[in-house]
Amino acid sequence: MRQARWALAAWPVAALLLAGCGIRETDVIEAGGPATVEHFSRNGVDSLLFYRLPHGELTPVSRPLGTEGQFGSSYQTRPASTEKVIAALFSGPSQAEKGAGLTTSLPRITSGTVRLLPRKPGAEPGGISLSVPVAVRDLAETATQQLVCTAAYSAVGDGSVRVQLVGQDGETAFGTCRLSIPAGDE
Amino acid sequence: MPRVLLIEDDPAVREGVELGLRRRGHDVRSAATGEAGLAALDDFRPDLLLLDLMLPGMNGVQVCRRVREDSQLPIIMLTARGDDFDMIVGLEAGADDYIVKPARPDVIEARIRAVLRRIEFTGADRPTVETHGDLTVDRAGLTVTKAGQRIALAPSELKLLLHLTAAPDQVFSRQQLLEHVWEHSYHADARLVDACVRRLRNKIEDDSGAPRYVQTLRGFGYRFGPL
Amino acid sequence: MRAFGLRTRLVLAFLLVAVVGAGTTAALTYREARTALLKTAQDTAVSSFREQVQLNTFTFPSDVGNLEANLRDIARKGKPRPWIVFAEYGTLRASSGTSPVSGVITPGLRRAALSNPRGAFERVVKDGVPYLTIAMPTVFRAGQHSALPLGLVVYAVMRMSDEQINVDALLTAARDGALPGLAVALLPGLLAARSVLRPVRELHRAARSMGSGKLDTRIEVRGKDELADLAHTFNESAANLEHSVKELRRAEARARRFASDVSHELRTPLAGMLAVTEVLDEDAGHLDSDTARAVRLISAETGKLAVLVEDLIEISRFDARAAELNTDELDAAEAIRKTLVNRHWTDGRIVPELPEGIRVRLDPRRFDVVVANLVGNALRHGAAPVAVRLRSETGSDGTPVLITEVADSGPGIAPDVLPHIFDRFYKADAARTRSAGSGLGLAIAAENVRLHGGRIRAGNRPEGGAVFTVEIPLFTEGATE
Repeated sequence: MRQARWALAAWPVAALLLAGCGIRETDVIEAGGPATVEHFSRNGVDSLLFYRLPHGELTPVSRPLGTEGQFGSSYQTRPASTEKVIAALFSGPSQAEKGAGLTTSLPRITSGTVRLLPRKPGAEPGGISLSVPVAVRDLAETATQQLVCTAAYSAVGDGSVRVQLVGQDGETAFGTCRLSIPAGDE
Repeated sequence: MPRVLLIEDDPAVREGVELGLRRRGHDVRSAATGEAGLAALDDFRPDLLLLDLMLPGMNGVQVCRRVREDSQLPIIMLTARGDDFDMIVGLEAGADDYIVKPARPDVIEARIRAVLRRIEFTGADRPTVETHGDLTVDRAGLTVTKAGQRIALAPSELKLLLHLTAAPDQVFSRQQLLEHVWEHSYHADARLVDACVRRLRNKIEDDSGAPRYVQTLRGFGYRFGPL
Repeated sequence: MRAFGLRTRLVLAFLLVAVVGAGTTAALTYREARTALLKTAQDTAVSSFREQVQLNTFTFPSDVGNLEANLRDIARKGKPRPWIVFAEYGTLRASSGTSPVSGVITPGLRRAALSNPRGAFERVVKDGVPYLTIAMPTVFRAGQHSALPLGLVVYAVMRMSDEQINVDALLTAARDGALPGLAVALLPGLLAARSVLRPVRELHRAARSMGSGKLDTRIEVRGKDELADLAHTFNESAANLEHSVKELRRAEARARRFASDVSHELRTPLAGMLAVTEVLDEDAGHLDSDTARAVRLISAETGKLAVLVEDLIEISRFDARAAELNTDELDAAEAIRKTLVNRHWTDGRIVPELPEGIRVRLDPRRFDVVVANLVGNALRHGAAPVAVRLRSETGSDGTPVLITEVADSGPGIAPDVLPHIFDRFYKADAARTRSAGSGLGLAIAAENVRLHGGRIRAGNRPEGGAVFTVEIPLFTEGATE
């Protein structure tokens, strides 16, 4: 009887000890910022174009659209113009990019030009207006963002500039590239 | 036959002892109290006093002291065994011997005879008068003088002194003294001897604390001298 | 459990309580420690993974070949544990292992990584094996303050072998949980054991003290617990016992005093009667035969009565511890010889073997009583010849003793009688209502020997006959100074 009582008393202890064993599953737990990686691109030569990933988010790809300076020559390295970059965007993802599942939301155009419009008087300072050969009012949000982001990053390195699209059916309000996130300190 | 005065308060004992002794030929007078006994002394002139220690009124020890004040009458205490303290006090007061009650008449008579018996004067070649230091002992006249002064000794004291001086320097054990001086058994109470020695010393020694005549040999006994 | 003492049991019990307490603390500590260790391991893994990813340069759009090269590089540097690295970019799937897609990464983690460009991890248990899966979305710095998500998510799948974590957690638990817990539990445990054992010890001491005769022993009652009850009960029982014993002693004392008083009262009339027995004996011859016989009977019985009363008084003096020893130094052989002579035991019935020269200090009268009673007893109950031997020996305690032996040639003492041989009025033969002696002879002899600090034994000789042995310390040295 005595032993039985001791055993009884020892049970909770054993249970408590055993309960702590084993690693259990957890939910998804956020832990710190993303990995800030180096982008294999040649500054001034490569331009960023934004295409759509399968799940719908936009992602930048780099294209060597600028003019590469020759070593020893006076020919300077010159980045591609916004017009050129936007035109490249309209032409859709490359073969390699398609292989990675990237798509574009922009309509395919066959004619027309892309133009950077001069700044109107009284307009927002630090904003650019871009004339594109498509109807901008009915463009999908993703398509608008493709244009805004590509234009913004083409115009300014950090893509912080505000962009107004001017299309065949009128103009949009100035918008920013919503893809950029504050840079972490890491 | 000796004349015996019996002082005993208990009527049965008094009558029984009186009867037993008279039957043996003793002239017995008895008294129930110490006062009555003392009063009978002059009239009866006994040879021996049988004295019960436990008496109403004047007790046996007091009677004993009173008698010793002016007399060397032989005194035998009647005592019960175990009444040690009374017995010692009685012996210190001057009693010569004791009898433990209850006792048969033959035992009592033997005691009486022993106390009354004189030390035999043996050896005709010895002088009857001997001098030991200041002490002069007359064996024939039974007198002892110290520096010419006569010393009154009770019968037991005198007998003890005579016994010891008969063989100066010889050690006697207390058992031997009990047997020879008191005619007691070997196993009798040796305090009888010790009490008698103390009394004797008080009378003959200059300093009873450092005795010169009757000396003690611890573990062995007593001896007379050497001076 | 009976095999252990109370102390051991108490300490064991407290130890068990201490172990349980410490175990519980340890278990809790263990859980905490394990959680903390897991978190540390995960955080380390996540940040280490991020670092490794950041060391790589990616091309966009990526191709599988480039990605796999990058991933293998990351996998090689797996810390703190090896991991398999996967990359997902658009529809591209690449890994550092054999399968390009992991079966462990959950859709939830993918969704989180794609929708929110922040590092995330998830613990997954698959087939009983725990895995840590880490999702690390990549961004690149586009300017001073902004970054662009690249759409490339790098995953790491790490098998979590929990042994190390468990060992570490156990060590932590033992160090931070069990040991302090044990110490914290053991100290009050020992104190409690002491507080329980102290009254028990007191009880033990008190019981022993009671046993040794101190019946007034009491215990101080502290508090109101079971031990206090026990102490209280002990005190009550002790009080009752003391009362009963006192009552018994009083009763015994009364009985003894009564016997003593009766004896003393008898002594005086006996003294008178004894004085006249001689008269009766002498005159009996002149009386007619019936009267003569009656008179002689009275005379004889009076003598016996006197002896009996004297013996009773003697015994009551021993009982009252009033018996005194009046010692004298003498020759033992002479003392015994005198005893025999005085009793007229000088015929051939007694065979004395008494070596001379043994000096002994004793009470001659009492020694005489001892020898006389023993020899008298031997003559009455045993048979002649009775040997009386004397010798000195070194006693069991190393002091010299005088040995007196009285051995008869009778039938010996029956075994059932032996233990009672020194009892008062003990009748060896139930049919014999009165012995020739008082029935107190051996009891008085024994008391006298005891008064001398000696011992008396009764037994039977192998060759037949009873033997009484008396041992009395010699004390010669102190006497001959």
